[in-house]
Amino acid sequence: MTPQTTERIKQVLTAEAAALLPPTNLAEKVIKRGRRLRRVRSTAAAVVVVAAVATAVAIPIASLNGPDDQAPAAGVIREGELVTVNADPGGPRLSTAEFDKWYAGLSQGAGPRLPYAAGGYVIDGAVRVRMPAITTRQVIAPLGRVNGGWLLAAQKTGLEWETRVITYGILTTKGDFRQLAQGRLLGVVISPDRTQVAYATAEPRPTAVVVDVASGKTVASTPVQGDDAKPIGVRWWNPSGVWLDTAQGSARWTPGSPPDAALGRTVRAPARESELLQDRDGNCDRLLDPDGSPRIQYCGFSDPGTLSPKGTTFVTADGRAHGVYQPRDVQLQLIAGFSLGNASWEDDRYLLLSGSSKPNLLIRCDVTTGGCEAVPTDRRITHPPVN
Amino acid sequence: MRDTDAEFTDFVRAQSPALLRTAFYLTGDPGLAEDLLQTTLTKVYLHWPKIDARSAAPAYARRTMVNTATSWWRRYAWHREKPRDDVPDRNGPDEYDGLDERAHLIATLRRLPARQRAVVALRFLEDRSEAETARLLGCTTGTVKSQTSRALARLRQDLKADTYHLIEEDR
Repeated sequence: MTPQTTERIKQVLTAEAAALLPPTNLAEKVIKRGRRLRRVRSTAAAVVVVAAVATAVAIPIASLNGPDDQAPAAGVIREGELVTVNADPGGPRLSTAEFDKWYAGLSQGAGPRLPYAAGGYVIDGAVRVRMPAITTRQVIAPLGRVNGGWLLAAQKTGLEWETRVITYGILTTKGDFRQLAQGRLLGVVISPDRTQVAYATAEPRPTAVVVDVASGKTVASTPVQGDDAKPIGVRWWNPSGVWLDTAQGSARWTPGSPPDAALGRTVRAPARESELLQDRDGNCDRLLDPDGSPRIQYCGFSDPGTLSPKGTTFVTADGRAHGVYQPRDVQLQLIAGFSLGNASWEDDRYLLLSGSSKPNLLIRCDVTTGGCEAVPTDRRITHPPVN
Repeated sequence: MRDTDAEFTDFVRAQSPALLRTAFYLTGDPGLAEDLLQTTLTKVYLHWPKIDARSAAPAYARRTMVNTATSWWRRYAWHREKPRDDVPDRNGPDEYDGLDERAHLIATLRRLPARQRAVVALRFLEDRSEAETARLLGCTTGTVKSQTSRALARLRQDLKADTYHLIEEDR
C-alpha cells in the first residue's frame, strides 16, 4: 500500500472519527452501571460461599473480570416486574455467492415509500429533486419529510464540534432550498405532524429552538443546561414533546412551556407516533413509559433494536419481531449482511433494511409474517430511506 | 460522590473523546463505537481502585478496549454483517464521489479481522510504534509486524480489486 493510500485512509477515518461525540453524562452512566455490577458481584460471591450454588450465578459474573471480559450476559439485569425477553441469536452465515443468490431469489416489491438520497437527488416515490450543490468535505443528507418537502442537513466533516459548521434547511418539492439555521448546531428533529422542526444551538448560549416549516419563523425557544463534557442537543420529538439532551439527562419539553425535570439519564424516543421511550443499558434494550418507568426489556444483544412508529412492534438485533402490547414473536427471514443499523419503518408493518456492505440493496420485511422482499432503488444511494 | 469516583469522572472527561475515536477505528461504526466505549469504561471503573498509577489508566483502557473489540468480533461476527468482496454499482463521477469514497474506505477497513484492524488502527491511525502497539495488544513485536503485513496485503488487494480507482496504487 502506498503512502498516499495510507494517508487517504487515515484522512478519511480521522475525519469520520472527529465528528463523533461521547454520550452525555458518560461518566455518571458508567459509574451507575459499574456500581450495579459490583453489587451483583458481591451478592453472587455471598451466594457462592453460603449456598454453594456457584455455577448458575458465578459464570456470568466471572465473565466480567479482567480486560477480556464481556458486557453483562442476558438475564443479569433484572428490575421489578419487568418482562425480560432473552436473546436467542440465530441466522445463517452465507458466502458472497450464497448471499447474492439469496437476494436474487427474493420476490420484487415496490420502491421505498420513504425518501432517500441517491446521486445527488432526494428521491421520494416518483419525485426526484436535486439537492443543493455541496463542496468537498461536506456531507448533505435528507432527514425526513416535512410539509412541502424534506428537511436537509449539511455539515463540514473533519473538524471538532467546536468549529464544525452545520446547516439545516428545507428542500421544497420545486427544488428550492431554504436555510433554517447554520452554525454550531446540535441536532434537529421533526414534529410528529411534520409542520415544525426543533434544533439546538450552542451559540450564543445553549438553546433549543422550534421553527415553523412553512414560514421559517421561530415559534418557541428555551435555554438548556449543558456541561463542559457535552453540550445540549435535541434528540427526539414524539407525541409527548421534544426530548432534550441536557447535563442532567433527557428532559421532555413542550414548546411554549419550560422543560420538565430531567430523567437523570439519556434515553431515546425512537417512535414518531408513540410515547414510548427506549433506553440502552449494557446489552439490554428497555422500553419506558414517558415518566421513565420501565415497561419491557429485551436482553442479550450487542446491537440495539428498533421500535415501530406506533410502538406496537420491537425488532431485536437478531431479527425477531416482538409484539410490545400483544404476544407476538416472528422471526424475520433475514440473513447476515442486513443489520438494523440502517433500518427505517415505512409503517408499523413494514421495515426497510439496507445491506451493511452494499447499501444500495434494500429489502422490505413484513413483521407480521417475517417475509422479506427486494426493494428496487436508484443504485447510487448515498443515504438510506428515512422515516 | 467519592473521591475515586471524582477521579474517574475526570478521567472519563479527559479521555473519552480520544477513546471514542479509537473505538470507531476498531469498529468502523459510530453506534458500536459508543457501545464499545461504555463497556470499556465500565470495565475500567470496576478495576479503578486497583489501578495504582492514574497515569497508567489510559493505556489500561486502550488495552481493555482492544481486547473487548476482539472478543466482540469473535462472539458476534457470525451474527452480524457479512463482509463482501464486491462494491456497490455506480454511475459516472459527480460531486458525491467523496461520500462514496468515505463509505467504501470504511467498509474496506471493516472487512479486516479484528486483530488486523486493531493493528492498523493503532499503528497507522494513532501513529503508535510497533513496541507500543505490541504492549497494547499483549503480543510480541513480531506478531505486530506479521499482522501489519497481512492487513496491508488484504487492504491492498481489496482496494485494487474495487471499481472505484479512487486511490493511486504502485505502478
